[in-house]
Formats: sequence, C-alpha cells, structure tokens
Amino acid sequence: MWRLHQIKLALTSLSLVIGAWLAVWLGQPKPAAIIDWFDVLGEGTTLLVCLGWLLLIVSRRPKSQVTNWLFLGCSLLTFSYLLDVLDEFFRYPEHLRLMSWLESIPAPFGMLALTLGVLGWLKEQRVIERQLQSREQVLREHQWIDPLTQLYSAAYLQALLQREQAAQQQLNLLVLDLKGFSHYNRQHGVAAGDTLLRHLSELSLSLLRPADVLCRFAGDRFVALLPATGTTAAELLALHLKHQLDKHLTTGAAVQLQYAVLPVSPSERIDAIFTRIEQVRFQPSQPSPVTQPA
Amino acid sequence: MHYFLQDDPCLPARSSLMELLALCERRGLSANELLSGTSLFAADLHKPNARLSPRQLDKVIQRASRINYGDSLPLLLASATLYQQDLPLGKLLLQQKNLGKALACLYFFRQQLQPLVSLSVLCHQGRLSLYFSDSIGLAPLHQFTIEHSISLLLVLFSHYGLDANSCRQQVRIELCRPAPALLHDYRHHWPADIHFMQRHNRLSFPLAFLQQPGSTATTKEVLWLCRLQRHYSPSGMGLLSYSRRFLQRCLPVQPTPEQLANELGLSPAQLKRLLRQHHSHFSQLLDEARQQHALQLMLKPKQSNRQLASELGYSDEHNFRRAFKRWTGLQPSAIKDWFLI
Repeated sequence: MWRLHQIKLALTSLSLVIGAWLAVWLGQPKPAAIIDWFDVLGEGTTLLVCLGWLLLIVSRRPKSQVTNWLFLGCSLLTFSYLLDVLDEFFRYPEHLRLMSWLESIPAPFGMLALTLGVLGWLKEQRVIERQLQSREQVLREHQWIDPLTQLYSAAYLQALLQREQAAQQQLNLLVLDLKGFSHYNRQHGVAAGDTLLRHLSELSLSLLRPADVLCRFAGDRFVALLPATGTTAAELLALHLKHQLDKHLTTGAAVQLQYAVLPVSPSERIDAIFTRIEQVRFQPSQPSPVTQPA
Repeated sequence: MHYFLQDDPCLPARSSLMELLALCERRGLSANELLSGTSLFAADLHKPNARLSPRQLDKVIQRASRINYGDSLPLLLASATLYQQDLPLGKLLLQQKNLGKALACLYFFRQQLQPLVSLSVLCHQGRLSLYFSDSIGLAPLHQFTIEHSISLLLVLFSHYGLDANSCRQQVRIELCRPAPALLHDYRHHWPADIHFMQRHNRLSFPLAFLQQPGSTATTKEVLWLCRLQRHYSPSGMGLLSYSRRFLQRCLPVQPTPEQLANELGLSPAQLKRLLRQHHSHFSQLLDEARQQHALQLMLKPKQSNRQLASELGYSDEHNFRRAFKRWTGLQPSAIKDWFLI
C-alpha cells in the first residue's frame, strides 16, 4: 500500500529534515544539566505516536481524498512535535521568532485537517456499509467471510437464521447450484472453476435486492436469504436470476444454474434446514427463452 | 535411504505444495505469508527437484488452515491435485479402464502423491477397507493427509461415474477426529456415511465398485512419464510406518527395542529419543503393529483365539482378548460385525 503514497512520503520526510536542519543551524545546543528529561520523554512519546499514525495511514489506506486529509493532518502534527522535541536540546536566539512560529502554527492546522479526514472517513464508512448490504445484514463477523467469493459462509447463514427465527419471521431461502460444475473443473482446471464461482457471486449480488443476503453454503452451492418475500415472488426472482445469469456467464451450455425455493417456518430447527438445503430437489431445468433458438 | 524423519527434506515440492499455494493465493493468502518462518522461498519451489521436509509442510498447512475454510482445505485440494495439468499421475489415474485399475495405479505410485500416508488394505466379505495410520508423528499434517487421501478417492469414485446417492449409501468413512461445528462442508464434498470420534481412520466401500468402467484411452505414454517421476518421489517411508512394518514382520517372536534400533542403524538411546520426537514410543508401535497383524490374520477362516494369541506373540489368550477389546471395542468373536459395518 505504501507505494501509492511515495510522493507524499518524500515531501513529508523533506520537510522534517529541513525542520531538523534549521533547528541545528540556528540554535545553540543546551548544556546537559538544564535539559528537562521529563519534557523530552513526554514530547518524544507524542512524536512517536504521531509517527505511528502516519505509518498506519500509509500502510493501510488506499489513495483517496480522505487519506490525503488524514495524511496532511498527521504530517503537520509530526512536524510541529519534532520541533517541540528539538527545542528541548537547542536554544534559539531571542530576536529570531521563526522557530517558535514553525513550532506552533502547524499544530492547529494539522488538528483541523485530521478532523476533516475523520469526518470524511465516517462518511466513507456509511457508503461502504450501504455497498455491503447485500452481503450482510445486521451481523458482522469477519472470520466468517469466505475468502474466495468474499461472501459470508454457512456459519453466518446459521447465525442469521437463528436471529430471524427468534423474531418469528416467515422467510424464503433461495438455493442456487451449478449443474455440471465438477465437470467444468475437470475440463478447465480448478483455477478456472474458482474464477467462475467468483463471477457467479458478483453477478448474483448485483441482481439481488439490497435487503437479500447471499451466502456461500459449500462448494458451488449458494443460499440467498429473502426476507419478507412470498413464495411466488421468490420463484419469480429466482427465474429472473437464472435468465440473467445464463445470459452473462460465459461458460456456454457446460454449466447451468439450477435453483430451488425453500420456505422456512419460524419453528424449524437449524440443522433440519441445513439438511434440507443439502438434499434439495431443484426445479427441472427448462431451456431459458433467451438462449432458445428463434 | 529406507526411512525418513520429520526434518529430512524428502517431499517433492511440485506435487505436495504448489497446488496448495495456488489455491491459497486465489483466496487472498499470498505465498510469502504462507511460507514465512519455514525457510522455504516461493522462487526456489518452482525448480523441478525442490524438496521440503514434513515439518515444513506441517507448518505451511497449519498456517493455511488458519483462514476460515480450514476444515475443507484438504477436500478442495484433492480435485485441484488430480486435475492439475502437468501431473502425469493425475492423467494416468483418470484414464484407466476401470476404477479397480485406477486404484491399483494409485497404490503403486502412492509415493508420488501421498508419501506420508501409511496405508493398509483389508478385504473382507465383499468390502474393501483402507486403514490410514500416522507415519511421521505430526498430528495436523497427519489429519490433513488422511482427509486429502479420502477426498482423492472420492473424486476418483465420482470421476468413474459412481453417483453421489449410491456412494452415500455404500461408502463408510470413519475418522478419529472430533466432528467439526458445521458438517455440511464435509457432506457436500464427501458423498458418504461419515462418522467422527472413531478408533480408526478408515474408508470402506463395496468391491463391486472396482468394476466401474472408465475411459478407453491408451495410457502407455503417461505410464512411462509416471515411471520417470518416481526418481523425484521419496524412496522410503516415514520413521513410524517403517518401524511398524519391521515389528509386524518380526511377529510372532516379540522383538526388542535393540533389534529395532539395529534395523534402523541407530543406538537404542538414539532410537528412544527419535521416537519421542515423533510423539511415539516402542510399546505403542508394537501394539499398533500387532493390531494390524491381528486384523489381517482374522480375515483367514476359523482360527481359535489361542492360535491368534500365539501368532501375535502374546503369552496367553486372555491378554490377546483384552488388547483386541482395546483396539476395536469388540470381543474377537464379534469381528465379523465389525468388518461388515
């Protein structure tokens, strides 16, 4: 990540070096007897923490407006704290005000920039949450995310079902499965199979409604949780999904999407639901009107 | 070399590691992260005769299992290994005339795919049972290789046209490990009757499966390639399985630790230390060897408990009965039921 911020890093290091050089050039070193080591310790720690923030931002954030504000704030603060530490070791001539300006002016501006950055960050988080809505509902557990498709795994589905059932919600599950997936794997290799799964999950996500949650159950089987949807509406949604996916997946006739709608009642046990998902009978596949020859 | 230890670089990287690295890479775990601390480097592993030790493989596998799909990793890896484009053995296994021939090939060339599995095969009343035991004393690696081998077999079953339903009814898998929290992953990848917390790691299926027809392609060239590949695969077996085999061959005379040390070219003290490093000891190995031998002997018709006890080197019948109960949880007379399940 840090490679994205090379110019910013170079400018910051340059300004830090210039600041330090000015302090050394203009100031007289203080004798060791009058250095206040408590001050040095306190200001030094502040400087180190600020540097740590800077490094965290550089190593974790992508290139964006928000990153720029955060970075600017942190680097101004770092600059000011560096001079703060240095003036414990150097005494500047009385008539020269430059060093004290350089020390005190950047700090409030840095704070301001940092605040702007954090505000932007919160806004960004809100947008990302909206973007995530089809992948997760109100639960968030990062260890349950399937690393291949970035969807939640069956453990998450279990937790979600428990929650919905506690709320006595009647809901429908849409089970999606790829017919002929193992044959596809055999012919094109497992890497191609993985890519296909990734495409499938991205496409289905874009086709489902914002309130639906799509999970990867196991292998090539996906389960979408459709809250507040009647069985007929769920069937229609599934049919639409199948037509669109058959049109967009570039695998030809080798792999076909099959689906089934499972109504779930609030009193049903979770492991019974899981067994039903495993042994589900899919709708008999009809040739979709899109691929049918005219 | 007849046997290898945990730290001997004996496993060819190409067949044991490269697919795992690719699989994890596609799931966002880079090769460098996976290999850090193992003194292996991704660039070196691409060389044709790059090797690694069982301990290094164990480390990599433990690290790979830390991502949340830990449990199903061996299951994913099996089809990835078999359908790998540049692995001649994979082609050979998939192009045999019938499943029986494919399994025979797998058994013959097993050092290339699964050098760490110590396998014994028993056939009784129309069912074939495969027992997996530890060969090198590394528990996570052992678990992984067993699940990988079972998945390989099940992928072969489905490749040779056995449908999931008939497998589910007729294939039985027993594993020593406790059941994972969510079973559906296993059930999805393993169409079989799966039992956890058992005394043995075994897979059994009807002999009739072996007749399942396959392809008619000729395999001469691939066979030749596989023979060439044998130079790269380890020639020996793990310390534990080697010792177990030696002890089993010594029966009914009860061998001493000194004899085993002599066979391995070690001093008795060295042997003791090595076995401790491999999380085992002499009497445990002897017990396991007797257990293997007992099961093989009991396949032959009608032997009294006294005969069996003397063939296994027990001083009397009573000791044999007690040991047998410990191994299988059954009386020796009930052995038939045990094979039939």
